[in-house]
Amino acid sequence: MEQYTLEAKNISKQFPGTLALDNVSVSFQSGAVHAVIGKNGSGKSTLMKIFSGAYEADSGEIYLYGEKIANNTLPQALKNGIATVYQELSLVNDLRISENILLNRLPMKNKFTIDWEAVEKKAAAVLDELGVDINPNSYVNELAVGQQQLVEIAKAMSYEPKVLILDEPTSALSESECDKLFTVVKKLREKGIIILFITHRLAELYKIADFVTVLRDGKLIGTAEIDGLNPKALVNMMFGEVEQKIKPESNVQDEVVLEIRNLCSKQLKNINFELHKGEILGIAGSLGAGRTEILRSVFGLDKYDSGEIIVSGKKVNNPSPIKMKKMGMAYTSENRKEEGLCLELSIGENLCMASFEDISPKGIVDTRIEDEYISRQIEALNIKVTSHRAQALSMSGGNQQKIVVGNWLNTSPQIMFMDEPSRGIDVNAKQQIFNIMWEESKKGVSIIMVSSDLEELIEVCDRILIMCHGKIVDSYKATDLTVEEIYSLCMQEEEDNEQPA
Amino acid sequence: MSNQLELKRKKLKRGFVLSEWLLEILLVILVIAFAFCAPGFFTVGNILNILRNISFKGVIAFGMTMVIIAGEIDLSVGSMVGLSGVMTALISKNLISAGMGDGAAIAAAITITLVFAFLAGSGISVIITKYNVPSFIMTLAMLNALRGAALLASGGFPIIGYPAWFNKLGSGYIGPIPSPAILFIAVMLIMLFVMNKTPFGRSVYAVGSNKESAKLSGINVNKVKLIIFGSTWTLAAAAGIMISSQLNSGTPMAGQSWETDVISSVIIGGASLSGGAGTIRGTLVGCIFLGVLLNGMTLMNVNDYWQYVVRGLLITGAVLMNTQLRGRIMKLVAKK
Repeated sequence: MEQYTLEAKNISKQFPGTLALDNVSVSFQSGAVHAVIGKNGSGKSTLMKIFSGAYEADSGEIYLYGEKIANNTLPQALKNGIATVYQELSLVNDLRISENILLNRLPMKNKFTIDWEAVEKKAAAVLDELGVDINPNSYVNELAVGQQQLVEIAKAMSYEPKVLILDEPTSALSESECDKLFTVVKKLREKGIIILFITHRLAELYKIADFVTVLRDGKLIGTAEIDGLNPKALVNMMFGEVEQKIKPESNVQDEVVLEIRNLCSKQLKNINFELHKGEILGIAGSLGAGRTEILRSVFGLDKYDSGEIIVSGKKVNNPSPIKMKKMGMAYTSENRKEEGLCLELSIGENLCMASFEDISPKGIVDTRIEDEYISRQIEALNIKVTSHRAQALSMSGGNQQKIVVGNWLNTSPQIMFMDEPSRGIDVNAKQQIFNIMWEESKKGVSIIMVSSDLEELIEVCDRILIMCHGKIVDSYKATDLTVEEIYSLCMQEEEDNEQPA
Repeated sequence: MSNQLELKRKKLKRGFVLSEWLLEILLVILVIAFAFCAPGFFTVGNILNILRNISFKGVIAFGMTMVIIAGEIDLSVGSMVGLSGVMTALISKNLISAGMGDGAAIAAAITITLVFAFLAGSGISVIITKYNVPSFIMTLAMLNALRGAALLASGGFPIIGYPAWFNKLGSGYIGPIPSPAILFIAVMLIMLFVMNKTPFGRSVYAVGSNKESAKLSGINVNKVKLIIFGSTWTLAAAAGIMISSQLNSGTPMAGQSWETDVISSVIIGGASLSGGAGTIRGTLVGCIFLGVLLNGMTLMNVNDYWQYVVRGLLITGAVLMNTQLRGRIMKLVAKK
């Protein structure tokens, strides 16, 4: 007899430009682990944030054990019995485990003094109940990441919730740490707690989940029991029928413009690859696999320990953004607000930021050339502006991304690094960005593109490198791969290379 | 295009122009008010007097504008004023007693002092950027250290013995214009050019608005900061030499607590301590505003202690005006 204890009815949530959740109705039962999966932008995080009170739904209702939850805010959700463990750890490093668990609710002897004995006892009790062997008196910074994750769960459990939401709890954990986490989660399941488990790793589902709920583009695709659901069907639910957009003929030439040999750093293990003229090379991999780190190291933003970077046949020592720009390279960051734009400055200034020298041939800014540079990109990239004097801040995500790209196109680069060029922008802008990339590659520009969206990589790139735990494990022609294949390649576990924490 | 939209745009523009020139409008009102109630305010002599008074700190304020636009702060400029005066006096005194001619000795002393100021300013910038020391802390340290150096080098007493003509440099006139004002105007023109017309000026804004973006765009952030701190100390030294000429001696306590007026002028002029915003024009108006206010109050026999209170209120009011107005404009733009 199934009993639904957490129910969402007709939930919709609109963000500027996107409908994040479209009339989603879904139910979860107690004493079970429900995996909630979906690709980026599917709306799964939004749904979880509505449960946890971080967002308010535009319409729809939530029921917990038949009771309607209204005015859900973060503290209210905790009171109602919905606790969340976020992907990013939020423990205070310099406090003890016990204090972290009971933060904000420390037992008091009287109005002014903390009852430290009670703190320790209570925290120890919570940890014991989970079967976690951690000394409540130790400090957070003495713990490994996996243990910290368990402390986070203990903290959430100290609120005695009915619903526990785990947002990608395993993304930073090693295999053995994951197993420990699963033991704890199973224990909680036995207690009758409703567990919502978000993950990108499909293999995990079969280890821990009872049910799978799949979201795609803000819509509920379905809920199914994990037994008897094969991985292929699962991926199909996640991605749907992959629709191929027309990509122009590739322009890959024999000439090698960038060669990386034995690049090693803290996060990178012996990276080797070549980038050809006119090629669009994709890098796929899970979060933390080292995709961005390659780009940052080669562009001189992060230090590396050893290895060679060869640009157009010339070896580059001690790369820096200044040096790499001079060698015809460009880099658009995945964080356009933090690392791409000067938000308070004008669109025009942002478009010329990388080419100050070029617009001032005699050391003085030539406003004629400057205007030419600005309007060239505004036209070519179809940036919607009323005036290029407006602040970059006032632009939409898609237009901001185009400004970042335009800033670099103004330097007439030969090699472009584009980290998550489509993050947080709408479908139309996305397609425009891809068109720009194809056009540039036709002109002989080589591009390396990092993206978490696998469909996108297949759609845009000529060749795809697969990264896993800081290594390049494979390289494929984009046309030879399906989304399902890349997905399983990226998520493969490295059992033989497991390092004790 | 509908009429309504057109009207809205017009309103928006009017609002923008008003906020853009608000400080200037307030300054005009202040001048008119003082013209009526402060005896002797609206005379050529007094206006030139105001110009002379704001020139010393104003020269430094233009440097400080760069520092603040770049998202940094320099608290040590007042101490640099004291040290540079002492340095110039000591060096020229020694060179003269070694048999060098007056003019050559003083010229050499000035050159050495200015070069020293630039190198020392660059030096602290290297510490700030290389070891990630907040400029607030670094320049707070220098505020003390430089003053101490000035006192040590001079033994705590003004160094006298300049030839009489040296006094003309700081207190003379060229035509009707006081000579410090010439320096002030010259520095302003150079800075207007640098900040608006050169790649370096653009870089200063980019660095202050978003250091990471600037770095990624291949802007040499450390070099930009080095030039900023180096030239601000050079300007402080120039002001220090001017004031020592006016006093005809190297006075170790010269320029004490000037940093407050200098920073105030820049803030009144609309620069934001979080970086990325500020203009040379704004700083000019800020300097004049502060100078007019202090001068008018003195003429009206307002007690000195009250003048400090008014200064405090002025800074608070200016900041509120800048942040609130800017917020309003942003909201208007966002609504569109």
